[in-house]
Amino acid sequence: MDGVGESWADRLAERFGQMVECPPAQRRELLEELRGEDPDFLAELTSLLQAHDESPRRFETIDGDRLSRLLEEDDLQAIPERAGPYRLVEEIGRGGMGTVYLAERVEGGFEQRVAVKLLKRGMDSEAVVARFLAERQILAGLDHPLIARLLGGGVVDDGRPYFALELVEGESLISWCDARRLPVRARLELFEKICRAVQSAHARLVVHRDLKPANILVDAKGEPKLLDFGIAKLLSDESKVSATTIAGLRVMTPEYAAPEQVRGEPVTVATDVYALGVILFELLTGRHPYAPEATTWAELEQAVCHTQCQPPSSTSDDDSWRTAAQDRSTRPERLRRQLRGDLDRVVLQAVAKDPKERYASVEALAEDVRAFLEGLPIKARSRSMAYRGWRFVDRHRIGTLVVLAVLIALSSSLALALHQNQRAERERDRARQVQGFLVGLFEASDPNESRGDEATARELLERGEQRIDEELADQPDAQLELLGVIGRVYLQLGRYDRAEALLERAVSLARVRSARDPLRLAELIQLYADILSSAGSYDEAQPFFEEALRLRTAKLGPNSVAVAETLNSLALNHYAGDDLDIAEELYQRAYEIYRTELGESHETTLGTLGNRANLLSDRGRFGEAVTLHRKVLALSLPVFGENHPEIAVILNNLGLALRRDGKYNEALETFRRSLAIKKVILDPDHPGIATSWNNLGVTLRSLGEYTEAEALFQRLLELDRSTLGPDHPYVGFSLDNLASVVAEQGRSAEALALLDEASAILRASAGEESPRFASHLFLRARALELSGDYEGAREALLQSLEIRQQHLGEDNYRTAETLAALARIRHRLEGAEASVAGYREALAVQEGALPTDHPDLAPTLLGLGQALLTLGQVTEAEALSQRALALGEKAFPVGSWCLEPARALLGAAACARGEGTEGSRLLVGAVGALSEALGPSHLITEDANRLATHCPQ
Amino acid sequence: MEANPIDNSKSAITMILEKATAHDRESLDALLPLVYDELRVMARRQLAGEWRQKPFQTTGLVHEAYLKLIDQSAVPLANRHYFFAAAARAMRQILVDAARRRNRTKRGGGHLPESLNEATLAVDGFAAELIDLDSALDELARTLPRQAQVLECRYFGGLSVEETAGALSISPRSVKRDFALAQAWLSRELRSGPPE
Repeated sequence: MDGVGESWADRLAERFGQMVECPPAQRRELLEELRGEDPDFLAELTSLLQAHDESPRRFETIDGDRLSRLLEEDDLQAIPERAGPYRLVEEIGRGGMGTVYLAERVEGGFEQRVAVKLLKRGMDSEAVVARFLAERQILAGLDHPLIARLLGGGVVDDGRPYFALELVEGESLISWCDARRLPVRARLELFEKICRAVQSAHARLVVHRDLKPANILVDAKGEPKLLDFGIAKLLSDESKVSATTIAGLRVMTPEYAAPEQVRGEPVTVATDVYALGVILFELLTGRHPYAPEATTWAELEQAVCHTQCQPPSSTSDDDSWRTAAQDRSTRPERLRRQLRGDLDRVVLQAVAKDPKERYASVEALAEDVRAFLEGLPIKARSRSMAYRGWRFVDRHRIGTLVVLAVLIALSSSLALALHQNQRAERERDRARQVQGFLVGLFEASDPNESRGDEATARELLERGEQRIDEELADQPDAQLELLGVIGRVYLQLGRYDRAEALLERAVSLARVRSARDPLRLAELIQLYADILSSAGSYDEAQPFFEEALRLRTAKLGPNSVAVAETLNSLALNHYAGDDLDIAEELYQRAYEIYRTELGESHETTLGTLGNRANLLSDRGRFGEAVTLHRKVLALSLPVFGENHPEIAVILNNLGLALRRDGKYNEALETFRRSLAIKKVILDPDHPGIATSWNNLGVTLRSLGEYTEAEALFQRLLELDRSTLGPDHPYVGFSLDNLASVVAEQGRSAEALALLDEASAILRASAGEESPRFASHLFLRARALELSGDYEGAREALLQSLEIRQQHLGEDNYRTAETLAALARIRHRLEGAEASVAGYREALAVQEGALPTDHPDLAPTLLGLGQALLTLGQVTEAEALSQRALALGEKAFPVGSWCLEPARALLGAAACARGEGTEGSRLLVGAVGALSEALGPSHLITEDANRLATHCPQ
Repeated sequence: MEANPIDNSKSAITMILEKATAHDRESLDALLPLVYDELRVMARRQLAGEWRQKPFQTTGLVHEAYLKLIDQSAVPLANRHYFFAAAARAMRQILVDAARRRNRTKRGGGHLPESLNEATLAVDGFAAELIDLDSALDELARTLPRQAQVLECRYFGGLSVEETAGALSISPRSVKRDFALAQAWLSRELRSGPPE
């Protein structure tokens, strides 16, 4: 067609445009006019007009559906041959995230078949891989026979991330069950197994986030196997997920996504509980609770977050119900009966919209399933009761605490009623009365009458008190029970005055009836004493504890659980009143009874053991405390599961004992583990998180990791200020800690300004004579020393010493630490000779107060060694530096700068002994390392550098 | 990270667009590879990222790409239509490339499973159509280049009549006529079987 000019095309377009919209007659006329034209042109024009007339293809908009699919499949289709060490063999599955291939490992001696999950393009590969690297340790540790293992991961040549997973051959959970017409019981057994596997992952702090039947395969032997554990987290960028972004969405399956996932809120173990609940619903009924057919965000959110889940046993669709019954080898009406009641409640509690309303752990869900299978009572709350309670809570936020406390107190007495068979009838009556009473309180509480939340909480309790007299006057059993319940609530709220008044009354009422019910009297006396002890009236509480002990011992014998309870409280009372010897003995007695009566792994037994461990730690027996805490931990893990507040507390206390024992690395690891649990189970600004940050920061400071510690203290300070207010003593502590790590990094002016702030707060709150203020002065002295103001440092240390000697004693390790610092300041101000006696005195006290291998001894050893070296006592100086180095090597990681001062002194001593080459090498190395870590003009670096006078040149 | 290439191409695209003039094929050709990669990535993101998304429209993609890639303060408003034209060309290329790959694997018996459901067949048909349309459009461009371009903008870029007019510096009326002509021409060609 070359040579055809533009004019030809233009003319063609022109004529075509003219004629195309014309009626046929007019068109013929126009064609007639063109008769003289080029016949080719005319033929083309006619042909095109004809094509136009004969239903032309429009090409107006492209078919979006097909376009999406074409591109999507194009993405999936481009298969690399290899993924890391694996050769991809064939596709075996496909999902929203990507495609799964059967693959073989072609490197290494043997052939290994795995599943390789290759992700779609368009994800942020680098971030996914980075998260994979960060999490791989944890995921590789998920060693459970029912969890498919993650074997590796990386990127393929075209940049797409992949994960290699254990190859599982099996059928998706629901279809496997249906194909075998598995009855409800067998389905529940299978489900319980699945829960146990999920729980074991939770114990390692791994939440699945995308549990669904397709991720649970059942193999030929009928064993379930969970796929993709922890993968979802790798694919979602936590920091970016919010309600308005869709980043988090691609890693969940809408049908199984929990409300918090849809809202972009933090994912916790409760998220897996929810998904398991939906799966259980499907396993039982064959249908989804409310399959969201949503196509938009708003619809999805509406369905998942707001559509109420109906009980599994209620369904209006007879056809599908008949099929469901058939698939479960039963009849429709029988299936309905099986589900109604307990199983309804289990499912509804698991899929509650509010994570806090769900089972606290997957384990608790599994326990209820197990209980159902064994015909035991389940723990899931009855819907009506919980609903009333929660509806109330929704309107009155602070009232929550009270309602919760009441419910807890109530449910514990109900549980008691169920388990003590011999007194079952009477207890159950009482429990019913109490329950009815409390429900009545919720119903009567009119929100319109209340003036804010506090008032409501108080009103509720006051109304309760009032009604005890009005309504229960003729039922003294219930009356006493309720006085106890409300008193306990006040105790938990810290309203000791109210609690005390109520219990005083309850005790005198009970005394009248003591002949009939001496145990009830003992129980109330015990509670009264607990209240007094909590309020700090240890001496006043003492005789009441003893009376409770007598009553219980007389009625139940010396080795009963009730006696142990009193012993434990009494121990706590002595502990708080600083009578540590007696407290230790009482704990031991309580523990022996609990262990015999309840078993070693019982919650209560473990609680007493933990108390004793804390006591040992406070008494300076750190090693023993560590051993005991570890024992408590080992016994508690199977009871609570890892992600439990109890475990977080035990770990925290273990960490404290480890840190005091000088095991900084282990302490750090333990605090981190505790924090990890708290992050899963607590709100981000919960005080428990602050505690962890503080303990982590202090441990990092001991390890010389100042930058990391500073960041933590900074965050802690902000959290404390926002949650506690600017003048709370904790704000002062945080300022102190922040100042100390700022000072150690050589920023003296900044540190001193922070210390001034802290000082003002602590003066006003703790007081100038408190041990806490002594710690503040100690830190200030160090900051002054680092700034070169030795006189100022001395003054602060002397003040600190006075308080510490008076409050903590002459032989306390903190007193010793102050003495050591004073000796060092004297060394700086007055020279080596003047300091030696001070160092020796401090060392003697420290050695008495700390284990012999405690790293806190090292600075004193080195100070003394340095002074002795100056005085020419080379042998002892060298021995001291060797000892300090050995201590340090135990406590600090290889490569820590904290080891260098000891090396420097060792080098200088070697020089002084005449081994100049070797000594210089060591000294120069140490000074270099310190310069790098702390800066060349840091006091510690300069101290080391000054030792160079002992070496040649 | 992917941020760097995007930033680079942004300045390059902006620079090209700043000096682009109507019918400047060179500028258009220079834009194509820059726009191609970005559009493909954006399409991927949309496909991978959105939850049960309604089939996406190329119109949206092209406009989004414009906002993302162009420093609007540096580019005369009129010139944004050149970008649209380039984007439409790139979309065509992207789709045809995908369709060709799909055809190849089908023939070569690659890794796609033989799940011949209706949806798969529909996409197969779509891919074949795309390839045929592409050849036909090439053919059309030889005799009626402007009309071919109008169809490309309207169909592959999802551009409106006005945007197409702006991109090609012709009147909206001409766009309508050219579009009708191209439609007729393609109908005739494609009806008589795929070109050799």
